[in-house]
Amino acid sequence: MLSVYFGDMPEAIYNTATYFKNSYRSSWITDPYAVSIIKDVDRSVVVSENVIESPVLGSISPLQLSGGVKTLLLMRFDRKHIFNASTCGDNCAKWILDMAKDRKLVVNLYHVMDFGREDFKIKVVNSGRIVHNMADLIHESIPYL
Amino acid sequence: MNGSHLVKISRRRGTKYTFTIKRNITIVRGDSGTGKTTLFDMVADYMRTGEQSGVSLQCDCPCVALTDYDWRNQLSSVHDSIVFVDEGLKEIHSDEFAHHVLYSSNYFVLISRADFPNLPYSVDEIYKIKTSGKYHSFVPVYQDRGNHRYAISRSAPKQDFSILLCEDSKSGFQFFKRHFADSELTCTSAMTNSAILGWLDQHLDDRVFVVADGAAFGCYADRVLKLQDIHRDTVTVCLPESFEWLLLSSGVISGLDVKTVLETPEAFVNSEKFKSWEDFFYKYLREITGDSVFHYDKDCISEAFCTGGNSAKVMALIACRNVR
Repeated sequence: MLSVYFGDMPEAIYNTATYFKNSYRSSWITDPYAVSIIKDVDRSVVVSENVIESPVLGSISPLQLSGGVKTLLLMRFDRKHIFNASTCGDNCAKWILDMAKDRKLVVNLYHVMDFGREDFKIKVVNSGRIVHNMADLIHESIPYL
Repeated sequence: MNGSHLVKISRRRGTKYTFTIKRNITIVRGDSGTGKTTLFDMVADYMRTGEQSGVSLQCDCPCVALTDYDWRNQLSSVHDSIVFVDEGLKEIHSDEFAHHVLYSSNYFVLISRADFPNLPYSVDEIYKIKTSGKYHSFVPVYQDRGNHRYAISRSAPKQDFSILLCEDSKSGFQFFKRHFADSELTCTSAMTNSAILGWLDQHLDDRVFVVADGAAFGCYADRVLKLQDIHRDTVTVCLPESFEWLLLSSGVISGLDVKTVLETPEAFVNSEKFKSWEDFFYKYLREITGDSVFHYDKDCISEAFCTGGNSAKVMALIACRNVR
């Protein structure tokens, strides 16, 4: 299940781009799940572990992926840490929910990400309550953001 | 600094951004993969080595990228510039950072999805990046759907309102309370703009017309408008620049330069003197009304604004169903 913590969380990795730069493994990039994320969010095609073809930037290295994709890859492959998911746009929300389907995933948010109109199940760590839609998520965020 | 500043930044590989900055605080957010970090990196590259970086930047003032490890020292020597700040700088949330932004000679472009309750930024200055091939531009995240009504989705209220909610209990609230004294519409106050979201959340069964100062509502726009989108049949959010801007725009006060000021406020709002356009319009209105019958006092609305004809001119600017 997905758990979110609203507001400052000292133990979370805030600057996910810097953390990604110094910790990612080449093998992450060609993992089929990562390939799907990169295709969907950045509209880019993974050519190899070190080369990604972007429609806007041309051939780029993994370090030039978007901040959102970097954070998603960290969530996927580094399960020891909590990451700042406010580096992810709303187009990353479905991937965060998907990754949390079969495991516990805790993320830190400085804003209310739009998780869409469908019902979901998210635990708000600050209050301990579980919410099932955006109206409830906004309600729970009020004291903390 | 004042005025609007056109920024054109491109690099030899082909990426090009064109946008205009016209207030002291601009927010850039939006989906991942739209080029926000690329923009920041290009400004940073140009700042380090100019044209030799392969980046070309055209603007009538310096553009600076704030580096996270040395931001205090950097800001102390930057003046009359556009300062770009990336979300990686954690101190962007701090009161100390806000202190550096307010009354600064610099304009700030904050690339972040976070809300900043310690900064008064406008709902109109929150942008996302629109991409067309290699060309990038800024487009507003929140749309004015007419008469200063903001909404994520295009929709029109289907029923009359039962409550008009103001952000405080000062002159604006007094004006609306008097205007609707003989109506079935109840005027109430959330007491501060930060309390509007909580108030709405507690009154979702009511038909509410919210009036708040758009010039300082940026921080609250995201959640309030998301909630409005969910309850779009009953909640409408009206965000004119400020109540003082409404009074000035109504034409009730004649003045030689009022029209010019309203057409291009950015030419008159010096970021070192005013923390927001709301702040500017308040002081401007107070100054031009002086000791006249329209003497403006934030704590007590002048009778002259509330007379039938004048009141109607103000309401015409935000008219919507029974709010008129």
